Amino acid sequence: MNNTHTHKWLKPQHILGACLAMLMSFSAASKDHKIILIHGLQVSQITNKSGSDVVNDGETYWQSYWNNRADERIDWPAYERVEGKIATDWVWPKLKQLSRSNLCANGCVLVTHSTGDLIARHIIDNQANWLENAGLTPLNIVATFDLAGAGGGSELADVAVSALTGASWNFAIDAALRWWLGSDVTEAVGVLHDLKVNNARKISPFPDARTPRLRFVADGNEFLGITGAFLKGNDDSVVASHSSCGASSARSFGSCSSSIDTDGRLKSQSDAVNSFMPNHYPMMMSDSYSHNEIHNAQRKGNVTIAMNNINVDGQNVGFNTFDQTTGTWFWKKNYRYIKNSNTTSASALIYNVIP
Amino acid sequence: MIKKIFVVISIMAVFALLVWPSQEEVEAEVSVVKVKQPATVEHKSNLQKSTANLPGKSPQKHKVTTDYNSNLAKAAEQVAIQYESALKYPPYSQPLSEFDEDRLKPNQFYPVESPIDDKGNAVTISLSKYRFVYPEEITLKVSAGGLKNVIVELANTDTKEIVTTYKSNAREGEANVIFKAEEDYPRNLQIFVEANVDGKQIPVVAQIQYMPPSATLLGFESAYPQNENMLIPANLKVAKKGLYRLRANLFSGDTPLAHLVSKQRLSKGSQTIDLKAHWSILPQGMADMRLSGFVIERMSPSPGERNSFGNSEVSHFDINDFPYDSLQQLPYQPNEQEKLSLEFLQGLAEG
Repeated sequence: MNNTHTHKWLKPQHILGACLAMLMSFSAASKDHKIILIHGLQVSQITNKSGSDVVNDGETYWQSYWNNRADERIDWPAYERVEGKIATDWVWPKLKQLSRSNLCANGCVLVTHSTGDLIARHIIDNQANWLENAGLTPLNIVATFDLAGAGGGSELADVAVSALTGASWNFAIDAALRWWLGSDVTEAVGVLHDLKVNNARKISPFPDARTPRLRFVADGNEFLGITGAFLKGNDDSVVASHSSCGASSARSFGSCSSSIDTDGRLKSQSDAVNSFMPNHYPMMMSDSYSHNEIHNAQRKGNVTIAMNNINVDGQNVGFNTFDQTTGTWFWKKNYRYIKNSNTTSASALIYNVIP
Repeated sequence: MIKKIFVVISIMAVFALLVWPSQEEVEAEVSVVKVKQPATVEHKSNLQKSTANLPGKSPQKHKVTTDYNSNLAKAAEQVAIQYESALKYPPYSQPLSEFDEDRLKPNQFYPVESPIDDKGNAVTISLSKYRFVYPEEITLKVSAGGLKNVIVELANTDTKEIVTTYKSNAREGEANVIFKAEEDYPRNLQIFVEANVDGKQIPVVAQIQYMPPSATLLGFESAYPQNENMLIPANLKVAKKGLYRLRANLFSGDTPLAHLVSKQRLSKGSQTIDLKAHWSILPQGMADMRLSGFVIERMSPSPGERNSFGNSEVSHFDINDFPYDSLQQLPYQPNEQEKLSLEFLQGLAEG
């Protein structure tokens, strides 16, 4: 009987599956730095708290690309608050597990999407103190990759909380919220509050650890552009550039770079972000991706580098000296794209360079 | 009829002329200019050399002369340079610019708006700050063109339990509301405003924090030099022991110099914590400076206990005639964690 069972398990497809799993785990293990994923807002958890499977939802969230390439995930429920039960019931057990397993001994990299950016900032600010007070070793987090980061909050959450608390009064708002949250969300709960601009920007704004926050900014349209009407400056249909770039103020900004537009056009940007949150560095921008596409593998599109001219020891180390826009035709435009980005997903571009 | 055809053909011709060159750009061969990007400051001369060798105006006017061998590693290289440059300054004494709004206004409340129509009109709630510490009263302003009156409800954000309600008529499109200080206000407070704008009810929600002070900043003692730092001892009255973080901004006149932060475990009672300003951010000579923008934070000791904040009895502290020359000009040595982050970025830059 047992033998029969064994034979059943040894079907070719199972062996193939096991080999694939080994390959996948090898893929994750092949990096010098361990990758930990923190997902964004999962609307279904707001509308169906009792029916939510937080871990399963977390796995599904990243399945298109990152799940098989990462070493760990920090999953959390959208119906709770960041500094409340998300911290106590979901983040904390995982932090203790990561510390005990020594996973981050050689350095961990957090890959976050959307609200995951805010949760990562809360972790970076508190993990050392929390773990030390519990007699555990702090995690060695060397950097984060923040895709469409919502750490600066979203004006959409401001509108949503107002609309869900009071009576409906505006067709455009109803339409925007239906596109963003669906039609089943009837109450402002959990992390929706944390995403209000004022709340988000007061959660662990200045961690002591100088962990580089590498920003990847989408500027594409989703929801027919309806939600963008409520966001300041350029946006990815859910968060404005002040958040995704990591700007130090919640104002109306275009590009993260003073010399490159989000679509890669080389042109002086008068409305570029002029100051960033501490240790926030924009690296990549694209108008080919919207908020919910940037962490997936299916979407591909031209991506530009979000480099700013910088001043090191009084010398400018920028790139704009190489740019030319001269010519007879005044409409001539010059663009800069990352090589092969139109045939590679943004996630693959990032994963490929992680040492 | 012929005239109409002529007009249509003319429009099409102009349109084609406008579109044609951009299509040509897309199809044109991309000229790749490889530039050696300096990995460190020492390579600046290489950059200048590379810049000098770049071709000037392209002889082929339709060729796109945009891209060189740019990829994510190149962007990482520049971030690594920026990060390395930032590590010249210790974490407790970071350079501050006039644009660093988050550090210059650490308790800022961004006005919250609810649109009234599609013409850009909105009801706005403004508050003087985000975080209130007992015994501060909460003052808020509701404004909108055509605002008649408001109903303002103060509630616990998490439980929705209503704390108090206030009704007010508006004058010239503004209604000002004051909620008196109460020691037992919940930490997370929600202000729900129902604004009557020309008979239309518009809801708008602001959320703030209210808490008893965990410590009070009483004042500072005279600044003095110690090795490479200017030390400014701060006197606090601590109500609740714990790990404290004190922040302040240092100015020379109106010019921001540095964001200072100091962290120390403090017991209950009268305590002192030293703010330190590294020589690298201080003006040379005999300088007059001012400290302001104080934030007193008791850090979260465990996930189950949130951080809390204190208040200050002083709005600023003046530092006069500080002798810059008495400081040792020792460079900051990055800690292990910072070195590992830098190595990671440099690894990224290698592709």
